[in-house]
Amino acid sequence: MFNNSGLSLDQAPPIEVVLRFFLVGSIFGVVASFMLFFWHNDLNNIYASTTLALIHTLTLGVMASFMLGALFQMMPVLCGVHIKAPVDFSIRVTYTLLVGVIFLITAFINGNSALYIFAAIFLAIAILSSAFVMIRRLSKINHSNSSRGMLIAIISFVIAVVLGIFMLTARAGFNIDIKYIEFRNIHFHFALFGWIAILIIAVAFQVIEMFYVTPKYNQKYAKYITILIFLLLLIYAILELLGFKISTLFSFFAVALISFNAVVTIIKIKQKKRPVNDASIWFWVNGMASLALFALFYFFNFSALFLAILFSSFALSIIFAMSYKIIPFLVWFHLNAKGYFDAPMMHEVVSAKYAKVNFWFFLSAEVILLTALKFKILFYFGSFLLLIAFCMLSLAIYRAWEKYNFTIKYGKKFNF
Amino acid sequence: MREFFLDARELEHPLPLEMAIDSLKKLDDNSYFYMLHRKEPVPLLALASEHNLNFISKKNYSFWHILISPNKDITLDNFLKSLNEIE
Repeated sequence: MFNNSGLSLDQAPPIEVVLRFFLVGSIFGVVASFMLFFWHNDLNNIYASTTLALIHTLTLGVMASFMLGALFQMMPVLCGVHIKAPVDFSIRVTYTLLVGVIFLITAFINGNSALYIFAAIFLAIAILSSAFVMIRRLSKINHSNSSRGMLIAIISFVIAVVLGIFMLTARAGFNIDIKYIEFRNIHFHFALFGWIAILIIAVAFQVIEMFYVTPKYNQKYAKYITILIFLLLLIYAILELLGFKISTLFSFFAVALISFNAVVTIIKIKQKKRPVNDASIWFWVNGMASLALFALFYFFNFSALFLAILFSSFALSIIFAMSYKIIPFLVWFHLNAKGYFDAPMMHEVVSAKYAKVNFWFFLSAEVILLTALKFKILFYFGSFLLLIAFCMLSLAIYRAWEKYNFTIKYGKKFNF
Repeated sequence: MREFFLDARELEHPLPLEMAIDSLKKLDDNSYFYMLHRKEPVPLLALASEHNLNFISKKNYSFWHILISPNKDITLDNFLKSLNEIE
Protein backbone atom coordinates (compact mmCIF):
# COMPACT_ATOMS: atom_id res chain seq x y z
CA MET A 1 0.00 0.00 0.00
CA PHE A 2 1.48 3.30 -1.06
CA ASN A 3 1.04 6.55 0.85
CA ASN A 4 1.31 9.90 -0.84
CA SER A 5 3.83 12.49 0.16
CA GLY A 6 2.46 15.13 2.51
CA LEU A 7 5.40 17.43 2.03
CA SER A 8 5.43 20.72 0.25
CA LEU A 9 7.91 21.06 -2.58
CA ASP A 10 8.23 24.77 -2.06
CA GLN A 11 11.80 25.70 -2.73
CA ALA A 12 14.24 26.02 0.12
CA PRO A 13 15.31 29.68 0.44
CA PRO A 14 18.06 31.05 -1.82
CA ILE A 15 21.51 30.20 -0.52
CA GLU A 16 22.42 33.77 0.42
CA VAL A 17 19.72 33.74 3.12
CA VAL A 18 21.61 31.08 5.04
CA LEU A 19 25.15 32.22 4.20
CA ARG A 20 24.50 35.80 5.34
CA PHE A 21 23.27 34.64 8.76
CA PHE A 22 26.21 32.23 9.08
CA LEU A 23 28.80 34.80 8.04
CA VAL A 24 27.48 37.37 10.52
CA GLY A 25 27.44 34.69 13.23
CA SER A 26 31.01 33.60 12.57
CA ILE A 27 32.26 37.22 12.59
CA PHE A 28 30.59 37.69 15.99
CA GLY A 29 32.57 34.59 17.01
CA VAL A 30 35.78 36.42 16.06
CA VAL A 31 34.62 39.44 18.11
CA ALA A 32 33.78 37.19 21.09
CA SER A 33 37.27 35.63 20.93
CA PHE A 34 38.84 39.10 21.14
CA MET A 35 36.59 39.97 24.10
CA LEU A 36 37.68 36.77 25.85
CA PHE A 37 41.33 37.61 25.18
CA PHE A 38 41.12 41.12 26.67
CA TRP A 39 38.42 40.74 29.32
CA HIS A 40 39.01 37.28 30.80
CA ASN A 41 40.01 38.80 34.14
CA ASP A 42 36.41 39.98 34.64
CA LEU A 43 34.90 36.58 33.96
CA ASN A 44 34.78 35.48 37.59
CA ASN A 45 32.02 38.02 38.05
CA ILE A 46 29.28 36.69 35.81
CA TYR A 47 27.36 39.99 36.15
CA ALA A 48 30.26 42.31 35.24
CA SER A 49 29.40 44.54 32.28
CA THR A 50 32.18 43.06 30.12
CA THR A 51 31.10 39.50 30.98
CA LEU A 52 27.49 40.30 30.05
CA ALA A 53 28.72 41.80 26.78
CA LEU A 54 30.70 38.61 26.03
CA ILE A 55 27.83 36.28 26.99
CA HIS A 56 25.38 38.12 24.71
CA THR A 57 27.86 38.31 21.84
CA LEU A 58 28.06 34.53 22.01
CA THR A 59 24.39 33.76 22.60
CA LEU A 60 22.78 36.38 20.36
CA GLY A 61 25.56 37.34 17.96
CA VAL A 62 26.87 33.85 17.26
CA MET A 63 24.27 31.29 18.35
CA ALA A 64 21.07 33.16 17.42
CA SER A 65 22.51 34.17 14.01
CA PHE A 66 23.46 30.59 13.13
CA MET A 67 20.26 29.13 14.54
CA LEU A 68 17.93 31.58 12.81
CA GLY A 69 19.81 30.97 9.55
CA ALA A 70 19.47 27.22 10.03
CA LEU A 71 15.73 27.59 10.74
CA PHE A 72 15.23 29.59 7.53
CA GLN A 73 16.85 26.69 5.68
CA MET A 74 15.38 23.75 7.58
CA MET A 75 11.76 24.83 8.02
CA PRO A 76 10.87 24.48 4.32
CA VAL A 77 12.84 21.25 3.88
CA LEU A 78 12.14 19.43 7.15
CA CYS A 79 8.72 20.85 8.05
CA GLY A 80 7.28 21.78 4.64
CA VAL A 81 6.84 25.35 5.92
CA HIS A 82 7.40 28.09 3.39
CA ILE A 83 8.47 31.59 4.49
CA LYS A 84 7.30 34.29 2.10
CA ALA A 85 9.92 36.55 0.45
CA PRO A 86 12.73 34.86 2.40
CA VAL A 87 15.51 37.06 0.99
CA ASP A 88 13.98 40.41 1.95
CA PHE A 89 12.75 39.10 5.26
CA SER A 90 16.05 37.48 6.20
CA ILE A 91 18.01 40.61 5.24
CA ARG A 92 15.81 42.68 7.56
CA VAL A 93 16.21 40.15 10.38
CA THR A 94 19.98 39.73 9.90
CA TYR A 95 20.76 43.44 9.94
CA THR A 96 18.38 44.43 12.74
CA LEU A 97 19.83 41.57 14.81
CA LEU A 98 23.36 42.74 13.95
CA VAL A 99 22.60 46.35 14.95
CA GLY A 100 20.69 45.19 18.05
CA VAL A 101 23.62 43.09 19.28
CA ILE A 102 26.06 45.96 18.67
CA PHE A 103 23.80 48.31 20.67
CA LEU A 104 23.51 45.70 23.41
CA ILE A 105 27.28 45.18 23.70
CA THR A 106 27.96 48.93 23.83
CA ALA A 107 25.07 49.42 26.29
CA PHE A 108 26.52 46.83 28.68
CA ILE A 109 29.95 48.42 28.50
CA ASN A 110 28.83 52.05 28.49
CA GLY A 111 25.70 51.84 30.65
CA ASN A 112 23.97 54.52 28.57
CA SER A 113 20.15 54.43 28.90
CA ALA A 114 19.49 55.30 25.26
CA LEU A 115 21.71 52.44 24.10
CA TYR A 116 19.74 49.96 26.22
CA ILE A 117 16.50 51.18 24.67
CA PHE A 118 17.89 51.03 21.12
CA ALA A 119 19.18 47.50 21.82
CA ALA A 120 15.76 46.46 23.13
CA ILE A 121 13.97 47.90 20.09
CA PHE A 122 16.27 46.38 17.46
CA LEU A 123 16.46 42.96 19.14
CA ALA A 124 12.68 42.89 19.61
CA ILE A 125 12.12 43.71 15.93
CA ALA A 126 14.67 41.13 14.72
CA ILE A 127 13.85 38.22 16.97
CA LEU A 128 10.17 38.66 17.74
CA SER A 129 9.22 39.39 14.13
CA SER A 130 11.00 36.27 12.84
CA ALA A 131 9.73 34.17 15.76
CA PHE A 132 6.17 35.39 15.12
CA VAL A 133 6.32 34.34 11.45
CA MET A 134 7.89 30.97 12.29
CA ILE A 135 5.46 30.19 15.13
CA ARG A 136 2.48 31.11 12.96
CA ARG A 137 3.64 28.85 10.13
CA LEU A 138 4.65 25.99 12.41
CA SER A 139 1.33 26.08 14.26
CA LYS A 140 -0.54 25.09 11.10
CA ILE A 141 1.27 21.85 10.24
CA ASN A 142 1.04 18.20 11.23
CA HIS A 143 4.05 17.90 13.46
CA SER A 144 7.00 15.58 13.24
CA ASN A 145 9.09 15.24 16.39
CA SER A 146 11.60 17.71 14.91
CA SER A 147 9.10 20.38 13.92
CA ARG A 148 7.39 20.17 17.32
CA GLY A 149 10.75 20.64 19.03
CA MET A 150 11.56 23.59 16.79
CA LEU A 151 8.24 25.23 17.67
CA ILE A 152 8.89 24.73 21.40
CA ALA A 153 12.43 26.09 21.04
CA ILE A 154 11.17 29.23 19.27
CA ILE A 155 8.50 29.80 21.95
CA SER A 156 11.26 29.48 24.58
CA PHE A 157 13.31 32.02 22.66
CA VAL A 158 10.37 34.45 22.71
CA ILE A 159 10.00 34.02 26.49
CA ALA A 160 13.75 34.64 26.98
CA VAL A 161 13.73 37.69 24.72
CA VAL A 162 10.61 39.26 26.26
CA LEU A 163 12.13 38.90 29.73
CA GLY A 164 15.40 40.31 28.37
CA ILE A 165 13.57 43.33 26.99
CA PHE A 166 11.96 43.98 30.40
CA MET A 167 15.40 43.82 32.02
CA LEU A 168 16.93 46.15 29.42
CA THR A 169 14.13 48.63 30.06
CA ALA A 170 14.82 48.43 33.79
CA ARG A 171 18.57 48.88 33.19
CA ALA A 172 17.77 51.92 31.05
CA GLY A 173 16.36 53.53 34.18
CA PHE A 174 12.63 53.13 33.57
CA ASN A 175 10.80 52.59 36.80
CA ILE A 176 9.03 49.33 35.98
CA ASP A 177 8.04 46.89 38.66
CA ILE A 178 9.80 43.61 37.85
CA LYS A 179 11.45 40.93 39.95
CA TYR A 180 14.83 41.51 38.34
CA ILE A 181 16.75 38.55 39.85
CA GLU A 182 13.94 36.08 39.15
CA PHE A 183 13.49 37.46 35.60
CA ARG A 184 17.22 37.07 34.99
CA ASN A 185 17.21 33.44 36.18
CA ILE A 186 14.17 32.53 34.08
CA HIS A 187 15.64 34.47 31.12
CA PHE A 188 18.81 32.41 31.01
CA HIS A 189 17.00 29.12 31.69
CA PHE A 190 14.71 29.60 28.70
CA ALA A 191 17.54 30.94 26.51
CA LEU A 192 20.00 28.13 27.25
CA PHE A 193 17.85 25.10 28.02
CA GLY A 194 14.70 26.10 26.15
CA TRP A 195 15.91 27.81 22.99
CA ILE A 196 19.41 26.44 22.39
CA ALA A 197 19.21 22.95 23.90
CA ILE A 198 15.69 22.07 22.70
CA LEU A 199 16.43 23.36 19.19
CA ILE A 200 19.57 21.22 18.97
CA ILE A 201 17.68 18.18 20.32
CA ALA A 202 14.91 18.72 17.73
CA VAL A 203 17.37 19.09 14.87
CA ALA A 204 19.31 16.02 16.05
CA PHE A 205 16.17 13.87 15.68
CA GLN A 206 16.31 14.56 11.93
CA VAL A 207 19.94 15.01 11.07
CA ILE A 208 21.75 12.37 13.16
CA GLU A 209 19.93 9.55 11.43
CA MET A 210 20.11 11.27 8.03
CA PHE A 211 23.80 12.28 8.13
CA TYR A 212 25.27 9.25 9.84
CA VAL A 213 22.75 6.42 9.14
CA THR A 214 22.18 5.63 12.80
CA PRO A 215 19.28 3.70 14.35
CA LYS A 216 16.20 5.91 14.79
CA TYR A 217 15.43 7.58 18.11
CA ASN A 218 12.49 5.94 19.87
CA GLN A 219 9.48 7.83 18.48
CA LYS A 220 7.64 8.19 21.80
CA TYR A 221 10.79 9.38 23.50
CA ALA A 222 11.41 11.88 20.68
CA LYS A 223 7.81 13.07 20.88
CA TYR A 224 7.76 13.77 24.59
CA ILE A 225 11.25 14.78 25.66
CA THR A 226 11.10 18.33 24.26
CA ILE A 227 7.59 18.85 25.69
CA LEU A 228 8.76 17.56 29.07
CA ILE A 229 11.83 19.82 29.19
CA PHE A 230 9.64 22.80 28.30
CA LEU A 231 7.06 21.92 30.99
CA LEU A 232 9.82 21.56 33.59
CA LEU A 233 11.13 24.99 32.60
CA LEU A 234 7.63 26.47 32.89
CA ILE A 235 7.16 24.96 36.37
CA TYR A 236 10.61 26.23 37.30
CA ALA A 237 9.66 29.74 36.11
CA ILE A 238 6.37 29.82 38.04
CA LEU A 239 7.97 28.58 41.28
CA GLU A 240 10.87 30.99 40.84
CA LEU A 241 8.46 33.94 40.42
CA LEU A 242 6.52 32.80 43.51
CA GLY A 243 9.77 32.63 45.47
CA PHE A 244 9.81 28.88 46.15
CA LYS A 245 13.36 27.58 46.52
CA ILE A 246 12.22 24.18 45.25
CA SER A 247 12.29 25.72 41.73
CA THR A 248 15.95 24.64 41.51
CA LEU A 249 14.83 21.03 41.58
CA PHE A 250 12.88 21.50 38.33
CA SER A 251 15.86 23.20 36.75
CA PHE A 252 17.91 20.10 37.68
CA PHE A 253 15.28 17.79 36.15
CA ALA A 254 15.33 19.78 32.90
CA VAL A 255 19.14 19.66 32.74
CA ALA A 256 19.07 15.93 33.58
CA LEU A 257 16.79 15.26 30.59
CA ILE A 258 18.94 17.40 28.29
CA SER A 259 22.08 15.54 29.35
CA PHE A 260 20.31 12.17 29.06
CA ASN A 261 19.52 13.07 25.45
CA ALA A 262 23.19 13.95 24.91
CA VAL A 263 24.20 10.46 26.08
CA VAL A 264 21.51 8.85 23.89
CA THR A 265 22.79 10.82 20.89
CA ILE A 266 26.38 9.74 21.49
CA ILE A 267 25.21 6.10 21.68
CA LYS A 268 23.26 6.52 18.42
CA ILE A 269 26.34 7.96 16.71
CA LYS A 270 28.45 5.06 17.99
CA GLN A 271 25.88 2.67 16.42
CA LYS A 272 26.16 4.27 12.96
CA LYS A 273 25.89 1.81 10.08
CA ARG A 274 28.25 3.60 7.69
CA PRO A 275 31.94 4.34 8.22
CA VAL A 276 31.41 8.11 8.29
CA ASN A 277 34.40 9.80 9.89
CA ASP A 278 34.32 13.48 9.04
CA ALA A 279 34.82 16.60 11.14
CA SER A 280 31.08 17.13 11.54
CA ILE A 281 30.70 13.85 13.42
CA TRP A 282 33.64 14.78 15.67
CA PHE A 283 32.01 18.13 16.40
CA TRP A 284 28.68 16.40 17.20
CA VAL A 285 30.32 13.96 19.63
CA ASN A 286 32.35 16.74 21.25
CA GLY A 287 29.23 18.92 21.58
CA MET A 288 27.19 16.16 23.20
CA ALA A 289 30.07 15.13 25.49
CA SER A 290 30.50 18.78 26.59
CA LEU A 291 26.77 18.95 27.34
CA ALA A 292 26.85 15.74 29.38
CA LEU A 293 29.83 17.10 31.35
CA PHE A 294 28.03 20.42 31.80
CA ALA A 295 25.10 18.59 33.41
CA LEU A 296 27.38 16.56 35.65
CA PHE A 297 29.17 19.65 36.97
CA TYR A 298 25.89 21.61 37.15
CA PHE A 299 24.58 19.10 39.68
CA PHE A 300 27.75 19.52 41.73
CA ASN A 301 27.35 23.29 41.60
CA PHE A 302 30.69 24.03 39.94
CA SER A 303 31.75 27.62 39.16
CA ALA A 304 29.53 29.51 36.72
CA LEU A 305 32.52 30.19 34.47
CA PHE A 306 33.42 26.49 34.20
CA LEU A 307 29.80 25.66 33.37
CA ALA A 308 29.60 28.53 30.86
CA ILE A 309 32.66 27.24 28.98
CA LEU A 310 31.18 23.71 28.81
CA PHE A 311 27.74 24.88 27.69
CA SER A 312 29.22 27.26 25.09
CA SER A 313 31.43 24.43 23.82
CA PHE A 314 28.34 22.26 23.41
CA ALA A 315 26.35 24.86 21.44
CA LEU A 316 29.31 26.10 19.36
CA SER A 317 30.48 22.57 18.57
CA ILE A 318 27.06 21.73 17.10
CA ILE A 319 27.12 25.01 15.15
CA PHE A 320 30.50 24.09 13.65
CA ALA A 321 29.25 20.55 12.93
CA MET A 322 26.17 21.79 11.10
CA SER A 323 28.07 24.50 9.22
CA TYR A 324 30.64 22.08 7.82
CA LYS A 325 27.86 19.71 6.76
CA ILE A 326 25.38 22.26 5.41
CA ILE A 327 27.53 24.86 3.64
CA PRO A 328 29.30 22.61 1.08
CA PHE A 329 26.03 20.78 0.48
CA LEU A 330 24.04 23.96 -0.13
CA VAL A 331 26.60 25.40 -2.56
CA TRP A 332 26.78 22.14 -4.50
CA PHE A 333 23.02 21.53 -4.44
CA HIS A 334 21.91 25.05 -5.43
CA LEU A 335 24.36 25.11 -8.34
CA ASN A 336 23.24 21.66 -9.51
CA ALA A 337 19.60 22.64 -9.14
CA LYS A 338 20.29 25.65 -11.36
CA GLY A 339 21.91 23.29 -13.87
CA TYR A 340 25.60 24.26 -13.68
CA PHE A 341 27.89 21.62 -15.20
CA ASP A 342 31.02 22.87 -13.51
CA ALA A 343 29.59 23.28 -10.00
CA PRO A 344 32.34 22.50 -7.49
CA MET A 345 32.01 19.16 -5.71
CA MET A 346 31.29 19.34 -1.99
CA HIS A 347 34.88 18.57 -0.99
CA GLU A 348 36.01 21.40 -3.29
CA VAL A 349 33.77 23.90 -1.48
CA VAL A 350 35.30 23.08 1.92
CA SER A 351 37.86 20.31 2.11
CA ALA A 352 37.48 17.55 4.70
CA LYS A 353 41.02 18.24 5.89
CA TYR A 354 40.29 21.95 6.47
CA ALA A 355 37.24 21.09 8.61
CA LYS A 356 39.29 18.57 10.61
CA VAL A 357 42.04 21.14 11.28
CA ASN A 358 39.29 23.54 12.41
CA PHE A 359 38.00 20.86 14.79
CA TRP A 360 41.41 20.46 16.45
CA PHE A 361 41.72 24.23 16.95
CA PHE A 362 38.24 24.30 18.48
CA LEU A 363 38.83 21.33 20.76
CA SER A 364 42.23 22.69 21.88
CA ALA A 365 40.58 26.04 22.67
CA GLU A 366 37.91 24.30 24.76
CA VAL A 367 40.38 22.17 26.73
CA ILE A 368 42.79 25.06 27.32
CA LEU A 369 40.01 27.45 28.39
CA LEU A 370 38.78 24.87 30.92
CA THR A 371 42.34 24.47 32.19
CA ALA A 372 42.72 28.25 32.32
CA LEU A 373 40.38 28.35 35.32
CA LYS A 374 43.35 26.94 37.26
CA PHE A 375 46.15 28.70 35.36
CA LYS A 376 44.83 32.15 34.36
CA ILE A 377 47.63 32.85 31.88
CA LEU A 378 46.22 30.12 29.61
CA PHE A 379 43.18 32.31 28.85
CA TYR A 380 45.37 34.22 26.37
CA PHE A 381 46.30 31.02 24.57
CA GLY A 382 42.79 29.52 24.71
CA SER A 383 41.09 32.65 23.36
CA PHE A 384 43.73 32.90 20.61
CA LEU A 385 42.94 29.31 19.54
CA LEU A 386 39.22 30.11 19.60
CA LEU A 387 39.95 33.16 17.45
CA ILE A 388 41.70 30.94 14.89
CA ALA A 389 38.77 28.47 14.97
CA PHE A 390 36.25 31.24 14.24
CA CYS A 391 38.49 32.88 11.61
CA MET A 392 38.70 29.51 9.83
CA LEU A 393 34.92 29.13 9.94
CA SER A 394 34.36 32.71 8.66
CA LEU A 395 36.84 32.10 5.84
CA ALA A 396 35.19 28.79 4.91
CA ILE A 397 31.77 30.48 4.67
CA TYR A 398 33.15 33.46 2.73
CA ARG A 399 35.04 31.23 0.26
CA ALA A 400 32.01 28.99 -0.24
CA TRP A 401 29.89 32.04 -1.07
CA GLU A 402 32.59 33.31 -3.42
CA LYS A 403 32.78 29.94 -5.25
CA TYR A 404 29.01 29.93 -5.58
CA ASN A 405 28.96 33.46 -7.06
CA PHE A 406 31.87 32.62 -9.38
CA THR A 407 30.05 29.58 -10.81
CA ILE A 408 26.83 31.57 -11.23
CA LYS A 409 28.79 34.21 -13.17
CA TYR A 410 31.10 32.04 -15.30
CA GLY A 411 29.70 28.47 -15.10
CA LYS A 412 28.29 26.44 -18.00
CA LYS A 413 24.74 25.12 -17.81
CA PHE A 414 23.23 21.75 -18.68
CA ASN A 415 19.65 20.54 -19.03
CA PHE A 416 18.20 17.40 -17.52
CA MET B 1 12.46 1.35 -20.75
CA ARG B 2 15.92 1.64 -19.33
CA GLU B 3 16.06 1.79 -15.55
CA PHE B 4 18.59 3.65 -13.41
CA PHE B 5 18.14 2.14 -9.97
CA LEU B 6 19.51 3.40 -6.66
CA ASP B 7 18.96 1.75 -3.30
CA ALA B 8 19.82 4.62 -0.97
CA ARG B 9 18.34 3.15 2.20
CA GLU B 10 21.71 2.65 3.86
CA LEU B 11 23.52 5.65 2.41
CA GLU B 12 24.33 8.78 4.43
CA HIS B 13 23.29 12.26 3.37
CA PRO B 14 24.17 13.70 0.87
CA LEU B 15 25.33 10.59 -1.07
CA PRO B 16 21.80 9.63 -2.25
CA LEU B 17 21.23 13.10 -3.69
CA GLU B 18 24.67 13.21 -5.27
CA MET B 19 24.17 9.82 -6.95
CA ALA B 20 20.58 10.63 -7.92
CA ILE B 21 21.60 13.84 -9.69
CA ASP B 22 24.30 11.93 -11.57
CA SER B 23 21.61 9.51 -12.77
CA LEU B 24 19.14 12.28 -13.69
CA LYS B 25 21.76 13.76 -16.03
CA LYS B 26 21.76 10.46 -18.00
CA LEU B 27 17.97 10.21 -18.45
CA ASP B 28 16.14 10.50 -21.77
CA ASP B 29 12.53 9.82 -22.85
CA ASN B 30 13.19 6.08 -22.87
CA SER B 31 14.55 5.82 -19.36
CA TYR B 32 13.56 6.45 -15.78
CA PHE B 33 15.23 6.75 -12.40
CA TYR B 34 13.96 4.60 -9.55
CA MET B 35 15.19 5.13 -5.99
CA LEU B 36 14.48 3.55 -2.61
CA HIS B 37 15.12 5.79 0.38
CA ARG B 38 14.41 5.70 4.12
CA LYS B 39 13.29 9.36 4.02
CA GLU B 40 11.45 11.42 1.45
CA PRO B 41 14.18 13.19 -0.57
CA VAL B 42 12.56 16.64 -0.63
CA PRO B 43 15.49 18.52 -2.27
CA LEU B 44 15.63 15.93 -5.10
CA LEU B 45 11.89 16.23 -5.71
CA ALA B 46 12.11 20.02 -5.62
CA LEU B 47 14.87 19.83 -8.21
CA ALA B 48 12.81 17.47 -10.39
CA SER B 49 9.85 19.81 -10.10
CA GLU B 50 11.97 22.85 -10.98
CA HIS B 51 13.28 21.08 -14.10
CA ASN B 52 9.79 20.02 -15.14
CA LEU B 53 10.51 16.30 -14.87
CA ASN B 54 7.77 13.73 -14.38
CA PHE B 55 8.10 12.38 -10.82
CA ILE B 56 6.33 10.52 -8.06
CA SER B 57 7.20 9.82 -4.43
CA LYS B 58 5.26 7.30 -2.34
CA LYS B 59 5.76 5.47 0.90
CA ASN B 60 5.40 1.71 1.07
CA TYR B 61 5.89 0.20 4.54
CA SER B 62 8.91 2.00 5.92
CA PHE B 63 10.55 3.04 2.62
CA TRP B 64 10.03 5.78 0.11
CA HIS B 65 9.83 4.85 -3.58
CA ILE B 66 10.79 7.60 -5.98
CA LEU B 67 10.35 7.48 -9.74
CA ILE B 68 11.59 10.24 -12.04
CA SER B 69 11.51 10.44 -15.83
CA PRO B 70 11.65 13.18 -18.45
CA ASN B 71 8.90 11.26 -20.30
CA LYS B 72 5.60 12.98 -19.57
CA ASP B 73 3.53 10.24 -21.21
CA ILE B 74 4.15 7.62 -18.53
CA THR B 75 1.65 7.43 -15.67
CA LEU B 76 4.18 6.96 -12.93
CA ASP B 77 1.64 5.85 -10.36
CA ASN B 78 0.73 2.76 -12.43
CA PHE B 79 4.32 2.31 -13.43
CA LEU B 80 5.41 2.23 -9.80
CA LYS B 81 2.80 -0.41 -8.95
CA SER B 82 3.96 -2.55 -11.85
CA LEU B 83 7.55 -2.70 -10.67
CA ASN B 84 8.24 -6.19 -9.34
CA GLU B 85 10.32 -5.11 -6.36
CA ILE B 86 7.47 -3.37 -4.63
CA GLU B 87 4.51 -5.60 -5.38
